Amino acid sequence: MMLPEPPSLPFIAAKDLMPLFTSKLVAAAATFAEISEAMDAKRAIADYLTQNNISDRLSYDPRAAEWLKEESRPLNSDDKVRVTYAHRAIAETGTLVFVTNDQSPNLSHFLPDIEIVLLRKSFVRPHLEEVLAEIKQPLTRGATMPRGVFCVTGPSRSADIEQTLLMGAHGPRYLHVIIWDDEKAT
Amino acid sequence: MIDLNKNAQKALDDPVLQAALHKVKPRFIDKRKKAIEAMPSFSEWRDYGKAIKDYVLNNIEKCLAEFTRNAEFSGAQVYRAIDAKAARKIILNICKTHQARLVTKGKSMVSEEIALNEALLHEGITPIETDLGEYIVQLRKERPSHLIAPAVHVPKSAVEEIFRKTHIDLDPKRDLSAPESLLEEARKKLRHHFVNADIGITGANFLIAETGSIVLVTNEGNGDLTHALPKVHIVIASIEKVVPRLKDAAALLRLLARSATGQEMSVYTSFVTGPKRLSDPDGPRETHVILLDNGRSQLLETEFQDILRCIKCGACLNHCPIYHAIGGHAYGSVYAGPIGSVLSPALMGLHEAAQLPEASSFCGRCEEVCPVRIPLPKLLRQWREKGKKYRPLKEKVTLTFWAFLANRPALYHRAVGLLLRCLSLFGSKKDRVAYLPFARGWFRHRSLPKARQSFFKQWKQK
Repeated sequence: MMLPEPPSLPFIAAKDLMPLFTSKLVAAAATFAEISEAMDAKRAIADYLTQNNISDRLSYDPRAAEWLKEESRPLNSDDKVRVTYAHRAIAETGTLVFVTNDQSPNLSHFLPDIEIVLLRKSFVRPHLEEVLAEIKQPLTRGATMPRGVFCVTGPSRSADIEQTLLMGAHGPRYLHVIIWDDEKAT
Repeated sequence: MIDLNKNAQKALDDPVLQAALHKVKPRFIDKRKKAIEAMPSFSEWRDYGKAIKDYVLNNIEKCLAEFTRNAEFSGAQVYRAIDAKAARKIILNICKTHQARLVTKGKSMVSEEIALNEALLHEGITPIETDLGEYIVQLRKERPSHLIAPAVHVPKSAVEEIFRKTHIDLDPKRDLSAPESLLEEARKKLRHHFVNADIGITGANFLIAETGSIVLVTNEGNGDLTHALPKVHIVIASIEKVVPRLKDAAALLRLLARSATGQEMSVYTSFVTGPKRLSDPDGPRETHVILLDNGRSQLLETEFQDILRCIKCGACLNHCPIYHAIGGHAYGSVYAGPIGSVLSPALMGLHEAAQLPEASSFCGRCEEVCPVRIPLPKLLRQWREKGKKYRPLKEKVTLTFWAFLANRPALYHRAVGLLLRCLSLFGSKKDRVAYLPFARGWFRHRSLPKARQSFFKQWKQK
């Protein structure tokens, strides 16, 4: 019996990619800000903290720390706000994709109260299928998938208490994405 | 044998349960409908879901072998457990080796199936359910009553009650009237357990053969805190969860979230492959994957094979009028609703579960909404055929008598004429008959319209 092949993926025009991504982000109760220069990220983060009266100290995943020229340190279970770096994103569903490696812990996406994600616009793909293919395809003999590939769509939630939808079940209560338009010619 | 009739009666008479069940429709049915309507190609994806699952069921050993090879290559240990006892033994051995005292659990119906929590408790190991609904149900010492929303039968006041009763170290005067406060309390309590657990046990929504990965889907993030914090991660999954490729898992995920909760994608969809790599800053040092059979391979190549396509979305439960009326506990099994009525006789045997396939009016909604097109009414009918010998004597006698009459048209007409005349003797309200002898069960919740004279004359003239 031949392996069946999936139907064609829902079509998303290139011009619709980012509007779709941001509208799905918001629909999933995440928030976002757009920046045109990489160095604006720091200010964008500061703005987010001020607007939301957050005074907790930030901690950074290594790739995010590098971008922001900050010190990185290992994630602590008390860290309230963690800045992370997205590997890819999915426009169809407003999803961020993270992979684990020496620069990227598992728990940064689950332990903190607030996760701030740095995302490059050029990392956004239309569908999950493309992202998975990009992660798997380059793996040569002897290499495996990253231990964790985490697809995150909005903050943590539960409706287990009398069908009332509430945020912050176990994972982050808030998810904020800073999108750098790295495709603009610099 | 599970006395579904008795359980159903109890459920119908329970006002708290009935109020809770009323919430199923808006939460699940309407949301699913909206999500499906937003995806015009959904039907094609359902066809594909069916096709890929059928491929797996026809090539299961090949798929499982590939999964095992790739999972082991990533550093995981993979086991085949033929039944619940074997699975429990493997898990308990791992726990003993690591001297585990506290175990966190992601939501896993299969772990319910093998009665894992009782076995752990028996060995002095404390399991903590981390899915909020499962946690509530665990504290109440109950079973989950729904595949996706285990505590759907528990009102907010009961959650408050059980939290106050259990979390005795907190201030008794605290205000728990807002659902947010209950969530916050559960979050703090469970966070403590997540961090201190020796071992994390999860199920798997899918097993991916080409990479040896498991797929874990949650909205809370509890699955990920369960597998990523402790030193050891144990996965328990039934064999039919395997799919060949990443893209097949992606396809089934399109069906799963929409069919279960009407979301396009659940909040956390994680593809986890083995234990931590040497250079990873965190993650478990050991990963054990237990592939459970427990009667499933017996269903392959039989008239019941199709049930193994199930991706545990819960859509059939959400649309079943019987489930709406009686809830999940009445089924007396780990699996409730239409899926439960087909799977339970397979896993437990008809001598236990013969009443479950009877709990259907064959309205067919379940088959209509099943993302992998399982012909549930047909499978229920097949179980009914096999379960004839378990029907009560009273029913067999009545049906035989009716069949006798139905095969003799003249006699039948006469009997019905007599019945219609008698009906008018039993009226209590004006136009309705509220009672007939031998039919108290039926009349408890319904009434018959009385035959009006004109109708009788008309009928007689025919």
